[in-house]
Amino acid sequence: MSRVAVLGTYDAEAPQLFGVDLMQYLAAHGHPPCAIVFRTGAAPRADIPLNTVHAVDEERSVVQVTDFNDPNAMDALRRLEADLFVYAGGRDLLRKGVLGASRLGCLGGHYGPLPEIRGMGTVEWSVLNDRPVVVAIQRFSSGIDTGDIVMQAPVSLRADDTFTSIRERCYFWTKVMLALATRAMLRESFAPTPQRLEDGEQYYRLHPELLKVAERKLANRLQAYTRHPWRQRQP
Amino acid sequence: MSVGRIVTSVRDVVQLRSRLRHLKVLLIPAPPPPLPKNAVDPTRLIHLGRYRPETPGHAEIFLRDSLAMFEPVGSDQDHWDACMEWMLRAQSVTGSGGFSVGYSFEHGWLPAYPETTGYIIPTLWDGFALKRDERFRAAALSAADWEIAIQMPSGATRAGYDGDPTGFWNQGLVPAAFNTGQVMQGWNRTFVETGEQKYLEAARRAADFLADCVDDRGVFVRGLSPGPLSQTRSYYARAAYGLAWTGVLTGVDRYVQVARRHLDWVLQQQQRNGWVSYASFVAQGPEDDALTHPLAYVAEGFFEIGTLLGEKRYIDAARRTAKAMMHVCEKRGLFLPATLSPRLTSSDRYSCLPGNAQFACLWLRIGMLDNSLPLMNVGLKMVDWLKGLHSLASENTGIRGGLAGSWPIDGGYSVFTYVDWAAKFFADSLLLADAARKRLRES
Repeated sequence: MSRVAVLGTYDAEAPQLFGVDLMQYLAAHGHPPCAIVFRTGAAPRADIPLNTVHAVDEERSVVQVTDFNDPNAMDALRRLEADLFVYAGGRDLLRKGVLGASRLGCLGGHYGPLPEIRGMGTVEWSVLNDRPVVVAIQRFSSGIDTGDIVMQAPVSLRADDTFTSIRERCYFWTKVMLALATRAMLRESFAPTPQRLEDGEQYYRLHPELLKVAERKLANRLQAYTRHPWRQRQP
Repeated sequence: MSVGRIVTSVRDVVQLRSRLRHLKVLLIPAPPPPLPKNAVDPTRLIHLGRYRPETPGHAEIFLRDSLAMFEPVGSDQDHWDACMEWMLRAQSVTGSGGFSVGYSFEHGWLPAYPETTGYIIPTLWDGFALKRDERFRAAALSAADWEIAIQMPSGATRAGYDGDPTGFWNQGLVPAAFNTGQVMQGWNRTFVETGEQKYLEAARRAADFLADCVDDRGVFVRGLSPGPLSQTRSYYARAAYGLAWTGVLTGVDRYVQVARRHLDWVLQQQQRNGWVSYASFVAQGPEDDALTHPLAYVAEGFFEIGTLLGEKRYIDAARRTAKAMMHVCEKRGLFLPATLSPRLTSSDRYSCLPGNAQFACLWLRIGMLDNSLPLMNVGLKMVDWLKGLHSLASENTGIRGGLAGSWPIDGGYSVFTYVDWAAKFFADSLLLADAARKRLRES
């Protein structure tokens, strides 16, 4: 059985972490995580020691860190002997020591078509550049959004969407796709596609004036979705 | 009883109920919290691994359907063009003239399917009539010629197809009455379009086989495909149409009479509420659920033969089923469940999309025939709904322009497969929708 560890920002008791939706997706798709490495984003939890592999039961453990890139945290990550890390999301820049602490590296999500659109505000920049809104799963490299591409999928839109609602959908889309990508990565026959730096551009946070242009372009794009006068139930 | 005692006993009852509630909370574990908006039910990922979710386009469709999202909707023409391009691809991938069963997320493009190739031919001729695009004419001719090349010595068309990677069709060369009737429609139409006798001759050989499959009661008892589990089949009404049409073209009255005999038996299977017994691939008894796809075959058989022979009672029967399904669909907020009980109830949470497209055709055709606004209304709504599941932009050419067997894609019919018969009926429905929109604009 391959060993998958999830890195993320959570604040809950150790057993509860394994009930989070991403862990459920990984389990349902055949790769339940063996470990969860987390930081709380605020004060550390007192019930779990820092930078230590803390067993929840015979098969599962958690590691609490304050910074994934802390040398002590990296030591704990290496002790997990994971085949693959899955980064659940956030604004951490994971350094080489973290990325190299598992056999196959670390997967993470990105809300934009790779390699074209990297960086920040990528949903808005995708719309500004007349590109589809995409969730991409990459194997992180030390550059920003320059990792090998594991899979990408355009995100469906709705007539009443805003950039906020699209981002929220991307957030959930990413979790499912991380599970799909994990399974693909752990098949020895699967090879992710490397990116060439020159094939894309890095984008940054938008000025409010550009945001208005992006909102206008989004409204135009969503006109094609307005011919559904009914809302379908979730199947 | 004093007022005080009444108050006391009321208080006791309230306290007892409160304690029971408390006990219930302690004894029965709380249900899991509802999934947040946008979350996918994790159990739906359990079998997904089989369907190559890492292949471009696959995860996108799964996620779209899981969250009841839709594609952008274009004009009827945009969707029809994409649908026809998909069908031309489905033919070219086989290299034989036959049309691929479809694109499977598990196996990729599947082998050529004699049955559906037969009834795709009229759709190609319709396309040629509309666009004068030579590719449609060439595709229709090569499909009709392929069907002649593989026609069995008895005149029959075979069941299933060779090389089925799922192993479902593993019976080898077995004659199939239903498939024969569908292919005859392709030959008949090709004869009408070209005047070439070889197509009518092929249809006549097929008709001789088909007419011998029906017993004195009007039931198809021979040539039953070995795939479906049911042994009694009312949806062969659509095969009877091929027989009746060949009878009219050749002047052989026997073919028409046998088709009529079968249709009269099917009429006996129709209930007053429009539901039909044995409109299913698995029914073992007359009360077993119908599936919308074969149920639509029944209504199509009624409508086509009724129109061909000018028999009002058959058209009335088609209308009865079509109207029943309109109410089923509209009452559920434009959701047509895949299977229906004799009381027109269903607990399904998925649709069989070929059935949806077929009923869209029936609603629009009968709606325009009767000038019935409610039927045209539901037909147009269904076509627009199907457009929302029809990708015009997927980078996967097995998906772009095609239509899946189920909505959602992991539903219970042709799971994770874009089937050629869904594309065929959807293309037909788009032409009818275009005509209905024009009719409404002019009215």
